[in-house]
Amino acid sequence: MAATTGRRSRFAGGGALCLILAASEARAQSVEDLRALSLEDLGNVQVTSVAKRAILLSEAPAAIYVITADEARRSGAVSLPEILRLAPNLTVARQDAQNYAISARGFNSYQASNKLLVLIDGRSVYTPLHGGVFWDQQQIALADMDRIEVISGPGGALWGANAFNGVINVISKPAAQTQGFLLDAAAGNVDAQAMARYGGEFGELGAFRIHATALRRGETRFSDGAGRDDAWSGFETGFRTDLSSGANAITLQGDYFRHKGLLDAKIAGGNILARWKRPFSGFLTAEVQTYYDVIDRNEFFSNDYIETFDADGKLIAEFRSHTLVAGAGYRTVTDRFETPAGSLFFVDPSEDTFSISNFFIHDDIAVRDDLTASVGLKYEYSTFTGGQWLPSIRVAWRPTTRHLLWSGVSRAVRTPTHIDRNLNATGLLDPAKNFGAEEVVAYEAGYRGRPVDNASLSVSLYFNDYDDLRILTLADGRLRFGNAMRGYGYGAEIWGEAELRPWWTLKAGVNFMEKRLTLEQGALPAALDQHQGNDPDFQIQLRSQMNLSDRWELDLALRAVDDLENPAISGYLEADARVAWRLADGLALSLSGRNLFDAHHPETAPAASRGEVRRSVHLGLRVSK
Amino acid sequence: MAAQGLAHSAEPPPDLATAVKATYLYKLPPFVKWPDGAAQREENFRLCVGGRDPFGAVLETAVYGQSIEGREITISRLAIVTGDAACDLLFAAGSPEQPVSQMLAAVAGLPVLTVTDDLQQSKARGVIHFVRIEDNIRFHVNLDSARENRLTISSKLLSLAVEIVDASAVAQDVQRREMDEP
Repeated sequence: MAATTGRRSRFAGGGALCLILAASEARAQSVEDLRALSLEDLGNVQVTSVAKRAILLSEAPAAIYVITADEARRSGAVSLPEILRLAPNLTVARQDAQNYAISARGFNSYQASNKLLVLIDGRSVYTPLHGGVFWDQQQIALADMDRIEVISGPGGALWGANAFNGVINVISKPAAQTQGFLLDAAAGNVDAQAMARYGGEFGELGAFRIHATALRRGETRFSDGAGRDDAWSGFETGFRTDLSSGANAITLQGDYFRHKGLLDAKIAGGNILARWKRPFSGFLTAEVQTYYDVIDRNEFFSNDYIETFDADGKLIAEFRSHTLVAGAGYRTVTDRFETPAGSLFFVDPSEDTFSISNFFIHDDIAVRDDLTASVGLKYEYSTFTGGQWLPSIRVAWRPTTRHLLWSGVSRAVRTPTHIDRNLNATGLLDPAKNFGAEEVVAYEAGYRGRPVDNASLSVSLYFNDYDDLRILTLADGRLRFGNAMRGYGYGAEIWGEAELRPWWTLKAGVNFMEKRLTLEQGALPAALDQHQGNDPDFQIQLRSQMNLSDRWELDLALRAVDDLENPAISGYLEADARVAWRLADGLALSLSGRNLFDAHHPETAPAASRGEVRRSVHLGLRVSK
Repeated sequence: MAAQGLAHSAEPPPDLATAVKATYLYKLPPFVKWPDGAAQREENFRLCVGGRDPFGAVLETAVYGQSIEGREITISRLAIVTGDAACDLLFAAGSPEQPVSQMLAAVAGLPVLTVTDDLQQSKARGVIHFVRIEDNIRFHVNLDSARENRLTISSKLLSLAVEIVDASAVAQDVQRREMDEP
């Protein structure tokens, strides 16, 4: 009940803390307010010693969909991008065995999906190379994932760099919640993987966990059914420890991964992150986070080596009717991108270091018992584009405990990447040394609430005013990337959930989107398709979750995506099904089928570079002690 | 309005964690099935707090105007819990006079939904056991205790529990295997 509203609003995960506090109304403090909550919402009320007010995600003035651990488990998906299909406000399109184009509110394509900020436990994972995400690099232990917050719309004021059209925040469970031994394995006709985890305690000091995953992703198909031979395999390992000493809470976590791919590609990387949080004097909390991340992608046509160092801090203060968050961050990235000698396309200079600093301040003001205003301003300074001001103002009105109306205006930018500025092809493409930031001003409004008992509904509307979008330009007979496209995007994201019976929940989501872009002086019309992405006019999903008994689960899903225009790809209707049997405490078996209607179907990219997604079936096993 | 009343009273505002637990006490029962013909099936739903009451007035405020399946909720505070306490739900807080484990033993086998809390720092666990995980109040479900008290826990509640204790399923398996062995 109400699973898509009022989900957890924890302080876990540095970034999450920021979002929740900044986006919330923070008013449900009285027992009367708790009365309006469902059982799930009650479990998500934040009872921290600092925030004497409950902070509920259901009160956030933004389009937020939360994928819970239970929902992810019941989807039958084995990878992060597949789990992201559960979010009705995302467009997830698979390009081949390794690559996905994932976006919110448009610009979906492998090249143009660079407008999303993706964070895993506070660590940014979009690649500074081209702004998109290498989804094959993001292996997380799904069984230890707590939730994924998918925010469509610019989170510029809080998140800064790259949160142009949305933010995906993947949050793992604290170590204390992942104790003992767990084995999560799946094997089927396409994919196979096994994750083993062990969690323990350091006495009174805290808890830890370590895990290792081995995975294999099967190949995709050509349209005639022939195999593309793009299967790949990998291995990933990580740890997390949460310690507390007095009022200090310290988290240390890290991962290492190594994959083998198409044509001897070797991709490896690792990261280490430390976070410290501490409340002071009953109304102030300080949080500091720092991480170091290295990725080495050796593929057939290129080598990319990226080192990132990031440090952020924030201070949260609550007094009278204000929840004030102030923070600063610094990130420096060194990216070395090499192509074989004689390649047509190369990056010059091949190695570049850029940094982004930001300062932000955000205030949630309880104007009245039923009205909150959220005001935020971020100043971002990047090596490439100098300073940018990213303001955001939002209002949330709660006429009754069951309904929330919200509205807001925000500005966000996408700072140029290594490829934007330095991509070169002698005689063909000049580097765009003056390429600047893309800009969006987003006007949004929405409703979230429980119109009837046992059902929840969320409606979000948006109108995006784009400027300085990237497109290929022709000037003096030379081709170059330029900020020569602008226009509008608008749409609606609607989702809801109804508990038809105590054992049967039905969920539905619809996503409509439109774009109208205009080219400016010098822009090359032929390049429009590549840069505007390939977006479906609508997407629909319907999901049914049934607890047939204490031990049996049956989950069904239907997904429909509209036709794409350029390249033309017909829309598809697919079904997923999963049946699970909990044999005993800590032992569960499942059988999942995905993409059941078609043997294989295409989702994005031109025929020459895409692989079709196959019908797959797999057996799952989860054992825990 | 009552919130303002509470703010003006001499009592400090309730600790949010306590308020959440008090709210759980009337939100959980609809997901539990008591055995048919249970003697306690009277007009009112009897919610008992045994031992050192951690709630105080917040419990009355929380259940004000609430009903469980049409039955009005009455709150009883018991210093000592006995077998004829006739409670539908018992929050076993324990006391120096009667520790939590004894309170649970007193109603074992009776159709009582027993609830315990991590804060009591007792090894004894009721059918529902509140735990604080980071900043949230969640709960464990003990299916063995539930069966002992002839209660059926809905799968919805089970899906929300952070931990389910169900030793008997494994025990039955072990028993079966031992019987198969020559």
